Amino acid sequence: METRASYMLVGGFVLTFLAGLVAFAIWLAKVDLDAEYNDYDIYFEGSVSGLLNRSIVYFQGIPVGEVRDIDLNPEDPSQVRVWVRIRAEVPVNEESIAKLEFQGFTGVAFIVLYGGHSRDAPALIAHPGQERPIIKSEPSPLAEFFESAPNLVNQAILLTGQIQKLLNDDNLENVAGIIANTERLTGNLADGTEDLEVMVAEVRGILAQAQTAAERITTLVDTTNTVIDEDTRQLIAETAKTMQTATALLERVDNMVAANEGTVTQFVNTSLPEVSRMILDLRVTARNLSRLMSRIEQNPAEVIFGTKEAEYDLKSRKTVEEDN
Amino acid sequence: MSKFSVSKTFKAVSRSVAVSSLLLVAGCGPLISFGDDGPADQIYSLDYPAAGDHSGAETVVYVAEPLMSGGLSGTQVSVLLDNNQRTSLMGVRWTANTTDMVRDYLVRGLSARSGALMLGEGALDVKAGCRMGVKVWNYEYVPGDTARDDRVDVEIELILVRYLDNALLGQPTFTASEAIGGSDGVDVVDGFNRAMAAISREAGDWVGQHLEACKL
Repeated sequence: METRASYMLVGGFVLTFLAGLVAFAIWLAKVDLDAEYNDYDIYFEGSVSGLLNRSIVYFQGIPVGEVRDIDLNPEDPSQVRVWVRIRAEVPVNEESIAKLEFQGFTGVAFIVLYGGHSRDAPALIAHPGQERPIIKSEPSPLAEFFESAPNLVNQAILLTGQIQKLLNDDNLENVAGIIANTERLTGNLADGTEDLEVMVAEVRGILAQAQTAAERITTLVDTTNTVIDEDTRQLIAETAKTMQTATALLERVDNMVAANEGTVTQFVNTSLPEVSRMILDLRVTARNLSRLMSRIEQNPAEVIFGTKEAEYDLKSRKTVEEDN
Repeated sequence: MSKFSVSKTFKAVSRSVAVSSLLLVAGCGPLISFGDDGPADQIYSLDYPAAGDHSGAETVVYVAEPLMSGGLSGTQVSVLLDNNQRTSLMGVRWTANTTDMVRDYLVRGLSARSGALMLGEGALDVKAGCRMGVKVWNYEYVPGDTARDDRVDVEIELILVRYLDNALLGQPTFTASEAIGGSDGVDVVDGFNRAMAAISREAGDWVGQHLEACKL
């Protein structure tokens, strides 16, 4: 017997199954069919390593969009242009700033939007020549860290080498010596604290004495000022009187010199040179006397009786002993 | 006091004085030379140049007492033997100390040659323009291997200083060496005279070059 198939039933089942499958895929993909999106461009300086197409854009910690495309800025290759699609209800305006962040150190990158909370801020629009509105960006601290990481590593290696040089055996011994000296010093300081207290007490005593001395000096100065005030007039009067006496004395001396000018001139012209030459002759005489005294001290008999010496005889052309 | 006691006292004093005198003469005996029987020394003087009249000279120079090098001062005639051995000439003496003789010779010789008035001993109080110091390095008889080689050496250094500012005008040294013509004292003295004359001429010319600097 031939089985009679119900084509209508089979077709309906398949169509229902396919519709369910599509609905399931849509549910599984969480496609928000009712959502509206706006597209923006973000220009980052330098590398955006770790950022991929479909990377998530966060705002206030909520995923509000995704990266649509990543390419270089045609006008400036040092910049990376990132095309993002963000839900329309997210407030994006001139104050909004995009920053590249990383999830831990794994290198998975995403974009964070912040700012733009001010309602007075103008809406972000595409200017002429721009395909999409451009969100301002700023470099990520972590990205800067990663960029400078190789240099940091090199510097760390150098630093390690320097530290190894610094901490060689000799320096370690020196450091140990310094520590020992410091320990001894601190011990001495601790022991000398009592002496310090005694010294502080002595200093206080000295300061007290100095204060007393200063007060006495002040009193003395005051007294001196008083004495000076009282005696100044008398001193001036005595000085004037002394000057008058000195003037009279000088006049008398002047008169005396004038009266004896000839004698003085003669003394200067004749006696002074004579004295000068006499001094020279006295020097010679003194030297001769000194020699004579030396001879007398050394051999008095020789001075009195003369020296026994050989004499030269012209006739025989020989030296002959002197008979004394 | 009686006349007797005075006479006794006078006699005692006279005796004491006589004894003391005898003791004094006896004690001083070794100090007193009474001479001997040997031949008398020949005593010589230099033949000084003739004195000229320079009293009107504008340049007056005072000649100081010479400084004699070791052993040259005295009345003995110094003799220089080999190996710098020094002695004196037997039987020959100068009339005066060589210091005075050299000074007197220079005073006369330089005055005659230069025209300046040179003043020596006895002119201490005369105003002078310059002072001349004298240093005698050599003043001796030098016997040679033979009598022909005998000679007299004289070397004198002069130091001319201006009184006005004590400036040193010059310090030359003059030397002369004269051969001896015989073996007698007079021959030696003749050598000294010729040497001093030569030095006096040369030094007089040099002083003549400094007359302006020593004008009063």
